[in-house]
Amino acid sequence: MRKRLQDLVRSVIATSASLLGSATTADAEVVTPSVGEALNDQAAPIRTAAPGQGALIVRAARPRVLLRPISDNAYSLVSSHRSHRSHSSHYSSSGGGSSSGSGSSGSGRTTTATPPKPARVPAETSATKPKALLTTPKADTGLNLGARVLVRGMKGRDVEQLVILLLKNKVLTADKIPTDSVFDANVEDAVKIFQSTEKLSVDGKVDYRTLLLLKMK
Amino acid sequence: MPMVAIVSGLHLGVTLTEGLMNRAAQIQAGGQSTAALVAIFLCFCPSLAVGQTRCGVERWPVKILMDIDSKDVAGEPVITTVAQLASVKRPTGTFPYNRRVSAVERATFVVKARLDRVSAESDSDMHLVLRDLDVDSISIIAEIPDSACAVGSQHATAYAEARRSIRGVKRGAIVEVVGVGFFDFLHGQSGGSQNGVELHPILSIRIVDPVAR
Repeated sequence: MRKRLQDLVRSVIATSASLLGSATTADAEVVTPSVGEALNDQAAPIRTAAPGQGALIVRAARPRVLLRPISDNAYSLVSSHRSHRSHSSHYSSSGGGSSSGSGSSGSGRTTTATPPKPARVPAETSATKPKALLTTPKADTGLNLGARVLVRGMKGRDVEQLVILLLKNKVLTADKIPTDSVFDANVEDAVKIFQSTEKLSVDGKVDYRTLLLLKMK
Repeated sequence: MPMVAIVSGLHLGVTLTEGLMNRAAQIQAGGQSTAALVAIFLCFCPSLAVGQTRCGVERWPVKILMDIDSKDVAGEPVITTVAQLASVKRPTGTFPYNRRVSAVERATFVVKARLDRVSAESDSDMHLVLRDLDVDSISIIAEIPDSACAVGSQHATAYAEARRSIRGVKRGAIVEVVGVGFFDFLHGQSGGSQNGVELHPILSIRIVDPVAR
């Protein structure tokens, strides 16, 4: 019995170790000698490349900005990297090059780029489709309060939730409740009154600070 | 078919509500033809009999706080007045059978008002007309469902208690009413506001001043 337990624990540890190893490998990979741009993430350090070697793409879990090498060890910010989600353009120009980065720090490992394999999605048939979807009404996809910074002109369930908070905080009266859940001028005025009372920056935007105080009151 | 015609003829005053039609369409889409027929039949009935009690149909889950969005209704009441509620802008869209529209329907309000009238509705609701304390010409409707029509609701006891507490209260008494906001279909109810706003259901009533004013 004890031996079985020990074997089980060993196998769990071995599996975990292998999983962790693969995750580390996937965390960062360097590509393209010619693209001339690099990606970095707050969590992943920026690595340098030798001149003429082209670019360095450090692929991390959440890429944030696009960098272009301008000298031996300097990069310039090209743009915010939010224009597309797939990043397929980076892979297409990789050409199978390998990095010659001489980075002095960072945990990102240098590997050869491989295009991502598209996930295989099984075709949805009437047999595989959950029956509930056929009979229940379409779920409300409205965002909940806090999912975005609310500003004038926005509309949705989160605006309704904000209005109720403003009513509770007595900065909005019932007769000023907006029609059709729209963040209108009355709501903006109420937010400004609240921000002013709480000595926040009075901009009429409901960011996390304003929201936190609205909920605390 | 003649049977359906007779039944529908008996209920000529009944409006075919969009919410119910949608509901029927949803059920029909699900392949439940019998249920769809029942739902369509209900469109022609102003109320549904539960034992000896006749219960409402139009947006009934919303009216008894058993709709899909009822969990989102804020429990802490917002202090307001009859005049303020009567001047809320009415939403322009449709009013779904089982969902809430606007922040008004997701909020609980508490108002002090003068009790103008209490009557029984055909759907067994207790119908109250509340007048604003400052502007007498402004009034709204507030309704307490029959707990027999809210079986399974966690508020059934509250409805029964509210109905008990309003019995015997004289016209003109000052009451404090806690209820959930609701937009009714505009069908010229007496004592109703122009925007159709109501407190529906009423969750509690407190008699502030029983002396008629």
